Amino acid sequence: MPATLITMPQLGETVTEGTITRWLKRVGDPIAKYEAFAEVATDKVNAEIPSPTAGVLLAIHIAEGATVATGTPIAHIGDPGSDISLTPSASTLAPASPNASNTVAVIEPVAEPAPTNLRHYSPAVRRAVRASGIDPSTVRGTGTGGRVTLRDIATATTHVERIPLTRARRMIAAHMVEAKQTIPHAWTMIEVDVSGLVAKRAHDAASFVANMGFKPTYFQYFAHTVVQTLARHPMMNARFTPDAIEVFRRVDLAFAIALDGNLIVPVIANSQHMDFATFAHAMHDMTSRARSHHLAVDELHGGTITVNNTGANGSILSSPIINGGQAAIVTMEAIVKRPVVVHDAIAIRSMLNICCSIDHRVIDGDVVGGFLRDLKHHLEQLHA
Amino acid sequence: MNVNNVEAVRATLHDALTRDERIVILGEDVGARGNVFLITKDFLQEFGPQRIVDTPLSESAIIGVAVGMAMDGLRPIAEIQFADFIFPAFNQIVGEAAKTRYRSNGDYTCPLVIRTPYGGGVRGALSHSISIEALFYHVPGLKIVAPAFPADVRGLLNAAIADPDPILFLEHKKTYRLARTDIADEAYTIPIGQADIKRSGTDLTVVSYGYFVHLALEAAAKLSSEDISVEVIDLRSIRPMDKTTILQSLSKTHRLLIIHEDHAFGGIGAEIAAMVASEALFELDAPIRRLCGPDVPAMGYAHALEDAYMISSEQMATAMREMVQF
Repeated sequence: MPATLITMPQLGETVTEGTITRWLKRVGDPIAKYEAFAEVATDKVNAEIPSPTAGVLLAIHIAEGATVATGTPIAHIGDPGSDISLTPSASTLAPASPNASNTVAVIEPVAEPAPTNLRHYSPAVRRAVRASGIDPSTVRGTGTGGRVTLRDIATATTHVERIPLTRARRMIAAHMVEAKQTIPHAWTMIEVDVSGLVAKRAHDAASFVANMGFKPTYFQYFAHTVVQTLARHPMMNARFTPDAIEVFRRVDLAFAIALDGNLIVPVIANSQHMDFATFAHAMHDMTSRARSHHLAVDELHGGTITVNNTGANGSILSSPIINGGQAAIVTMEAIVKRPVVVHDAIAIRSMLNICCSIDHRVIDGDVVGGFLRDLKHHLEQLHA
Repeated sequence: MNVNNVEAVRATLHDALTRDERIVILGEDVGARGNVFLITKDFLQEFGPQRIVDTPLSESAIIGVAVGMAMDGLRPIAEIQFADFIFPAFNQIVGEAAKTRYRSNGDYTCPLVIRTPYGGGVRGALSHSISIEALFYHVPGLKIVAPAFPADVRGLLNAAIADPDPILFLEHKKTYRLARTDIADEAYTIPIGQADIKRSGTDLTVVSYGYFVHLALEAAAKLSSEDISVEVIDLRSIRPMDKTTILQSLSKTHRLLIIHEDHAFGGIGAEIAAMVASEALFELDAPIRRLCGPDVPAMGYAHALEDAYMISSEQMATAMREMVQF
């Protein structure tokens, strides 16, 4: 019976390759069904690969650290002695050899090219170094064997640093351009008095820490209120397609996290059913796992509407770009104490701006206006 | 006029014969046969046997007589039928022509042009393929010119005829009918000792001459699609060497590749490399590289051996790429 061939899984819609960061099992180790046997990293996540079958790890085809395209064979799992050839047709044709079937193919890691020439600077580089005062050992060499070329020195001494695009950055760029170019954005903003929310959070904090292990954030309250408000404004939770507007029946709430210079957008699926504690826990858990690169891939998929905590750094106004496949993005700006008129007197209140970009093909001003009016109302109802 | 290299030589010689009564052409088969490439066809009828002289098969005699003519007021243009045959005249060229001005303390000069077809890639085998430039490169008093394009051929041949000292004028056989271009009708000259930038670039300087300039240009054009910018310098004159053009180019590209068909060892490229090493060391961001004919005694008879001897534009592109990536 042939062994099960394991290929590099597709860890996300737009992911085309993965890196084996660690083999958790060695060739010959028994593996239970669903037991993780390898760790894989992509631009976005680290994931453990569970075994689809029980058996023994018969062969490892990809070395630790190697990056391969999705679908590339990475291992065989099955009964000892079963066929582990990579081409099934060839295995049936090949004469059965008692030894061959037990042989495990372990591909050696590809050696890094030895860093040569690192100390050997060309006459032109030496002259340039003298002129510029730059330390060539601090310059990243792009020549043969990492040699520092004259151009590298020139690059290092210009006022512009060139940062090659990572795959993740390319993807972000492509998505942004696509969204900005295809979606006719409209934008609006509303001002909310969140003094009650500020009091509520202070009041809830101690019991939350005791019960849940973390302090609730304003953003969690805000996002949860957005989800609840959507119940009466389903058009905000929709998308445009060439033939129809598709309105989602569930709220898969996407929220943006800045991470190591990248932007990742985890999704809290089915958030419309969650009470605040459940929701806050989900968001807290996903945020901390995102920071440690332990989000599962399907947690980065989909999203029917996005919220963004743009106020985290003090912004009071922003104009966000809608995520592709959605119709709206809602931001929470910074909460600031401001003098406002309450009952014809000037009071000091904690004020919050909420900004919202909409796909005007899907949503008209009246719809987003109604949504923001209700969102404001719900937030202002919160109190200790 | 729209000409290839053969026609450029023929037209320029014809103009010179018409213009200057002192000009005499002498060599094997230049008269009745009209030269093996038909460069001097019908010249005998037009200018007569006093000026178009069929010689015996004796290269030493051709050059020896021509040196005497030149010293005595004529303007001989001697032809060595193939460069491979020039060796019997080595003494007359090196020992006499090149030394005339020095030996006579300037009383005599030797205004002699020695034209000869050279180079391989034409199925010429051992004795119709060689490059001779390095053998004469060593000799002070001798200028060596090797143009590869019709406009350069005309301008440099006119300059050579006008020059008061001996010139070795090399015509690469493979370029004779390689390209056809429009050139000026009048008898213009191009200064001897002046290289020409045939393609501008910023990443690498390629110095070459003769047929290989054509191939280097092909390779450079190919590499432009890889965002590699190659400057191709056609020396045109091998000696005197145009240091200025080479050094100016290097101050821009900082990388030098020298390509020639002649052997590397003790060749033209060696002299250029030495010049650059002593005059422009701190411009160099990569070792100077020479891509030259192999160190074997001759171009093989077998086609495969000849092909192996000649450097292809693909090989040139590979070397250029490697140099830029170094």
